[in-house]
Formats: sequence, structure tokens, C-alpha cells
Amino acid sequence: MPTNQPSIIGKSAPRLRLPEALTGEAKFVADIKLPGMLHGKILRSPYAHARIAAIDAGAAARLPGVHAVVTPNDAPHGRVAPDMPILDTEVRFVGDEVAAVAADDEETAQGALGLIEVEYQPLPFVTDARFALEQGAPPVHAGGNLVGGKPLTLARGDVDDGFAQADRIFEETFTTPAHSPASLEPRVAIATWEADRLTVWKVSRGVHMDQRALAMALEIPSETVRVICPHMGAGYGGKDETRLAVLAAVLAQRARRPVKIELTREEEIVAGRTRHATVTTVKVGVKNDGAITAIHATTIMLSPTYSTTGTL
Amino acid sequence: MTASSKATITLTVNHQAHRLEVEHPWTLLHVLRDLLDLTGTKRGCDRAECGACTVLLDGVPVYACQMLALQVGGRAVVTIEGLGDVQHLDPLQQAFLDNDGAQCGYCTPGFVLSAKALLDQNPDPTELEIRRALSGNLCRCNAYGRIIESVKAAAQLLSEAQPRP
Repeated sequence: MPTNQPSIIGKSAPRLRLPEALTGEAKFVADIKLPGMLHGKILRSPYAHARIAAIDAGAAARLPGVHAVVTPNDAPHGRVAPDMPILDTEVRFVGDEVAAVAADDEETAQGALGLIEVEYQPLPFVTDARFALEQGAPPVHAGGNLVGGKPLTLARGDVDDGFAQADRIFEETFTTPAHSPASLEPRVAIATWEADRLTVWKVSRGVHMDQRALAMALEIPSETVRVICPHMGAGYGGKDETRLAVLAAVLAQRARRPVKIELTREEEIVAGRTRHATVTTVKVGVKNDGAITAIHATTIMLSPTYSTTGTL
Repeated sequence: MTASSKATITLTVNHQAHRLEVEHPWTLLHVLRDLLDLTGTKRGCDRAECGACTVLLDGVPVYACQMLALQVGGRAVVTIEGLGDVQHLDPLQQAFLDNDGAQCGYCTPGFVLSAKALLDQNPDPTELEIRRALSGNLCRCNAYGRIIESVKAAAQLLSEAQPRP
């Protein structure tokens, strides 16, 4: 006879880390304060597509209480993702990051953004994936608007034969809009340096993915980067990006102080990641008894402007 | 910010009196989170839509992001930190734990406080009354079913703890 009864099997386990969420003791990223921590704000593009012909952040940098500024002119040259520089002289959607400021408090940082002078040259843009694939459509990135360069094709069985056996064939086109996942917790990142070692607290579903992106962008060894996601107020896919943390890290490096950047709800909606809008044409072959003999579907997905988590 | 835009208020938070120098545009949410370090009150939208910043003001649930600090001078606020801690959960928090009434936990303090305001006024609410009382709080993870069950269970726990005459 075993002397011990199983201690887990057949018993309901209390939810891990729920008690501290219920009492307010749980520390989400926005709840963390570091000594000397500055607050960052981001200047965003008012244009869907534009070239930044000139940008002058001198007055912002001189504002009392401002400790660091980063613009496309002086950002490090690494990339957050293959198609995403830290900051670029070309902006590709309304809300795209143009510059960032770190100051003693949010109000000062916000005020400093208003002192940054930007000369935009608006460019043609396209917002519907169907038009984006037409000849002559304005390119979002050099190299064309089809992410990956060719369609992703998945096939199983003999589809032509299936349609040949069908009694009836139906074909319809369906669309779904882009939507914001709108997690209740807005995105937030904190960065702090200790000599050449970087620690970042951020909302994340993949701290190692963020670690790689930070190391790539800042051109430092990944073993010098630590990314911590404490409690997270959900994400639903909308928090899989690292540029926010990279901007916090660059500002923290320049100010030699920790920097926190918290997005507002408006920024989340305007500049956050969305679920792809889709246009799907489905052709289904059926027997008269309802049995499906073949399905052929083509989906055009409006991908995010930058492929920060891969090509989908 | 000029000196003339500052004011001194007294504010009771979780039964503790504070004398605070506040600036005119500051919200109660800012005072709680950034001056008093009571970070259990969450910021979600800053525009009275999500309910993550719900606190009790003289027993009534309010959005802390929509109250100016100047409006709450002399009044009493209860935040989530004013209920139990992890070693001593309040029966309402215990009911949420037992009934898994949360997913990510970000909206949770607001829901718990809206539920507390309801049960303090109405110890035996109907499901419709619970739904109405929680209608100012959003849970984007969609844990509403478990949250409502948690509040029902809390009403039961509280009535067992304090049998009514």
C-alpha cells in the first residue's frame, strides 16, 4: 500500500497569483517605480505616409526637466525587426513613432513633444490590402506590399477532383474589419541600465522574443539584456512588439536614469497593433446530401505595418 | 505649473487621514497611484469607460480618473488595499478566489469594489441587480460569468457570517 495519497490529483488547485490580484498587491509594469525614474512620451505621425524632411528637437532638449531626446537623426542604427528601424525618416501610419522624450514627469515630457519641429513631406498611401496588391500601389516598404514576397499556400488532397465530384458549388466573399484587442492594461515599458547591462520590464507574451529584439536593435549581446514581465493585464496579441521598450532603453541610456513609457488609451487605439482586416473568398463544392467535396479559400490579410512578430 | 494652481486637501484613504498638496488638474487616480503609492487602483482608459480605477467615495463606487483631487477634499475613499491582504482575504475577495472570478486580474480591483458597494447596500441581490451594479466595469478577458458567480457566492458567505434577524 502506498503510504501517501496523491496530493494534487483530483483536487482543485487555487489559482496561482490570483490572491495578489484580488488585493491590489500584484505589481503590474505600470505599478513599478524605480529610484530616479523618468517618464517618456512619444511623438507620433499625423500622416498615414510621409517622409520626414527635417526634424529639430533642440528646443525640446533644452526644456527644463527634459533629460533625453531621441529622433530619427540620432537614433542607434540597429533594427527592432527586419523592416523596423528604431526610428525612421519615413513614417508609415497615423501614430507611427517619430521621436521620444524623457523628462521628470509626464506633463513636462508631453510639453517637450510640442517643441519638436518636424517637416513632413506627405506621400501616397494605401489602407486597403486589396488595393495594396494592385500594380502601382504606393509601397509601404521597399520591395512591395506582399509580406514575404509570395502568397502562403496550404494544400491538402486533390481540390480540382473534389470540385469535379460536386453537385453544387457555392462561392462567397466575406470581409472582417481590423480591430484593437483593447486589453484593459495599456502598453508600458520601463528600462534601466547598470553599466552595459539592460533590464526591461514590459508587458509581454514572449520575454525572449523581446530580449532578442532589444539586443538586435541596440546592437548589444543578448546576454546583457534581461526582460521581465510581471503581472500582465492581458494582451490578446496586441502587445507583441518591442519598439516601445527599445525607445525606453535608448532614452534611459542617454539620461543615465530609468525611463518608463506608459501609453494612453488613445495611443493604444491609434498606434497599437490590430487584428488583421481580412477579405476572404471561399468556394465550396457539395454533394446534394450536404457532404463537402472541396474547399478553396483565398484570404488577403492586412498585416501590421511592421513585421515585428514574423510575416503574419 | 504656477504656485497658485496648488491647493491643500485632507483626504481619508482606507481609514487613514492624509493632508496633501495637490495641483488643480490632478485626478484622484493620480493622487492614489502616484502620491500615496496605492497602485491596486488601475488606469485603463482615463475616460470613464473601463472601470479599472473604481474606488469607493463615501461608500459609492466612482471612477477615480474622473474625480479631481480638489473634489474629494474632506471625503473618505476606500481602495482595494482597504480590503483584505493575501494572508487575510476579505470574504468578497475569498469568493472571487474560490470561484475563479478573474482572468488577467487587471480589472479585478474595480470589480471587487463595485461588488462591495452593492453588497454593503443590498446583502441579497438578484442576478439582475449584480449585473447592473457591475455594468460600469469592463473585463476584456470576458470573465463575466465567473465574476457574477463570485458575487453571488460572496453574498452567501456574508449572510452565513452575519445571519440577519
